[in-house]
This record gives sequence, structure tokens and C-alpha cells, in this order.
Amino acid sequence: MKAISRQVSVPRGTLALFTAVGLLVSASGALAADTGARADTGPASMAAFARGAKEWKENCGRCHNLRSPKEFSDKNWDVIVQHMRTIAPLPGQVARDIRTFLKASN
Amino acid sequence: MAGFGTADFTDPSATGEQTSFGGSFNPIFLMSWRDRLFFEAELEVNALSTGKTKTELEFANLSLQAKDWLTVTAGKFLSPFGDFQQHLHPSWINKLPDRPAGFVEDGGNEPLTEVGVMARGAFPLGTMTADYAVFVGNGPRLSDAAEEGVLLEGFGGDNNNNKAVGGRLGLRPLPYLSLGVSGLSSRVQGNSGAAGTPSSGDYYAVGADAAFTRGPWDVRGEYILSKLDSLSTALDAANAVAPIPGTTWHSWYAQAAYRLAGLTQMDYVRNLEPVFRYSRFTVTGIDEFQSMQEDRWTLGLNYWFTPSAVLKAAYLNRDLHNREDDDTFRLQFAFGF
Repeated sequence: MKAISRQVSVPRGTLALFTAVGLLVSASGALAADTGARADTGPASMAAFARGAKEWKENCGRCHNLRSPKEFSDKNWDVIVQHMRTIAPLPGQVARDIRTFLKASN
Repeated sequence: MAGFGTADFTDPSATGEQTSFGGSFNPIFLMSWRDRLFFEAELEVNALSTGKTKTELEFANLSLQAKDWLTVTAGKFLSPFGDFQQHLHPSWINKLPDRPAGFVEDGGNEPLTEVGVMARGAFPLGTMTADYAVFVGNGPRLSDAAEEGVLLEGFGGDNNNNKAVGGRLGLRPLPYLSLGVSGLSSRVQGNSGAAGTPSSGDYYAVGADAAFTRGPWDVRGEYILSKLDSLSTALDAANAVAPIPGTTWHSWYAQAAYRLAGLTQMDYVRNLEPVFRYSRFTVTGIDEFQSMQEDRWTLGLNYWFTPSAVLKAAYLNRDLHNREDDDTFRLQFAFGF
């Protein structure tokens, strides 16, 4: 029993390290794989624009005042929305719709 | 690049101290590669009363967009525990010039930053939206300054082999209602002193937060309970290591703000926003840890020049349990860019 007990008693630091490595390994495939992200242009963009306008108001206003789409360029909105998608956090589709709205409105 | 800048004026004359101006600058660098890789870093640059400048790395991390519902972040990041630190603390977002009692940067009860790896994301859940964040990091440490208790900021190294594990689960049942629960578990190492051997103790924190943001209303609150088991530590380097009993910290705040644009479209008046916040921080444990205890109410009036430029005027009524009260009037101009 002692031997078994020693085997299953994994130090907390080691467990945390394995967890961290596991997260990185599972995520690394995403560099090559498709995340489901799609371009902001195309026939669906009008629907995305309408959804984005609504989601911009509902999501961005939860923490701060709504920033005008005209405040930033397309390139800036790309990284700002990515930042907000991570920290808010936002579902991927919601972030893409908001980005579509912001870039079409600036 | 994004970020924010802040200019302050503080008048603590009610307590006989001198008035002073202050300023800080927080540039945020954002870089991405397609929708997959994302790097962000924030510097916090402060003018000190000594005439020197203090520069700190608030966060610097690399994120990989693994799935639509999963972002993996590594490096130094804002702790996802709670609501205030990760979402509300930038001066152009925080509706008052101060932070709530118990949610301050030195000696507070809310985890600030973490250095490690984090998985987080959000996804639709029926008509609602759910979000999560879990992290593994170096974790908190006991401060050398005993009154600050446990330091909940990200350290670029670890003084024991036990990593901190924590995170937050959030739910938005309605577009204007956010709810969250948070947790953190770690082990904290006692500090070395003039003699004796320090030991470590378990530390954990749990929290709950809620926000209602509809129309001109912004109403929110947050509660955090944290506990540190008894351990042996030196309260300062000159003292010998000695056992201290378990410590419990409680902190909470409730805040309400109303934008007068909800009442009138009159020029200037519509840009005003009265704000009130009550916050409380209590500590049960040795006297040194109890010195940060406080009841505070802050009454403020904001004028919004633009959605990200605000002039705040506020009166802070601070009832410090173990020190002289420190009532203060503050003016703050904040600009997010």
C-alpha cells in the first residue's frame, strides 16, 4: 500500500507543470489547424454587421463607455478586438461580428 | 498601441497632510498574427513623490487562439480572479479615482496579476453566454512588510514548488447582467528572519461578483474571502521566525453610477455621472495584518468629455480601523487611447 501511495502522491508543482504542458501541447495544433475564424468580407457580412452592432453595444458597454468606431483604423481594431476577445472574454463569433461592425463603420 | 494616461490632484487636508499632484502613463502594446497569435504588454509608469519614476511591467503575454472557445495564454497576465482588477481598474474605466478598500494594489485582497499559463474562453449557452478562465502560476507570496499580508501579484519566479491554481466562471444570463465566481488555491512560504526556519501554509481565496449595466445605470459589486493557514515566518528580516495563527481576509464593495443622459439631453448636463461606492476590508489574525482594515465610502461626480476622457471629482471617507482616518478629496483626469 505504501508503494501505491507513493506512486499516486504527485507533488503539486509537478501536477501543475503537467497541466501547463498539456495546455500548450493541445493548443499548439491550432497554428496549423483552422480555428473556424473567417474573413470579414463576403455575402454574410451584412448579417455579421447587424449582429456586430448589437453585440458591440451589449458587450463593450459592460465595462466601459462605447468607443466610436471612427477612433481607430481597421488595423488597430483588429488587435484591439483580439485583446478584448481574450480579456472580456468573448465568444469567437461575437468578436468577429463586432470587428466586422467596427471596421465597416470607421 | 493603446493605453491610458492619468493626472491626479489629492487634497488630504482634512487630516492635516499636504496636497499633491500626480501622474501616470500606461502604454499597452498589442501585436497579432492573423487570428491565431496575439501578444500584449502593458507598462505602468508612475511619477513618485521622491522625484523618481517607477516603471513596472503590468503584463506581458503571448496568446494562442486554439479554438473558438479556447485561448491559451502564457506569460504575465492580469489575474482572471474577480471583476475589478481584470476589467475595471484602468483609470478611464474605473468610475472613481480610488480603488475599493481591500481591492488596492499593496495589501489588498484581490489577486492582481499572475505569471504562468492560462486557458480561457467564452461560448454561447442557449440564450446566455458563459465564460471561463483557469490558470496555473507562481502564485502569491508573503510580503516583507507585514502589514501588506499576502502579495497577490505575479512574481517572475517561485519560492516554493507549489504552484497556484485558480480561475473564474462567468455567466451572462441577460445582455445587461454578468455574474461570476472565482477561486484560487496556493501554498505560501514563510519569510526568513534573523533566526529560525520558516514553514509554509495553505492559502486560498474565493470570490463572487455581479454587474448590472443597463442604459444609464452601472451597478456592480464584488466579494472576496481569503484564508491563510498558520505558518512560521519572520514579520521582518530583523526578527526571528515565529509561528503566526491563521488569518482571514474579507473584502467587498458595492457601487452604483448613473449617467444623467438617461434623464436629459441638455448640453453638458448629459455628460455628468454621479457615482457612489461603499467598500469594506476586514482582517482576522495578528495585529500586523489587521492594519489595513478599513471602511470606506466614496462619493464622486464625473464629467465625460468623450467616451474615454473623463474628469472625476470625489470625496473619500476612509475609516481606518487601526490608524488615523484619512479623508481625502481627489480630482482625476483620465484618458484612454
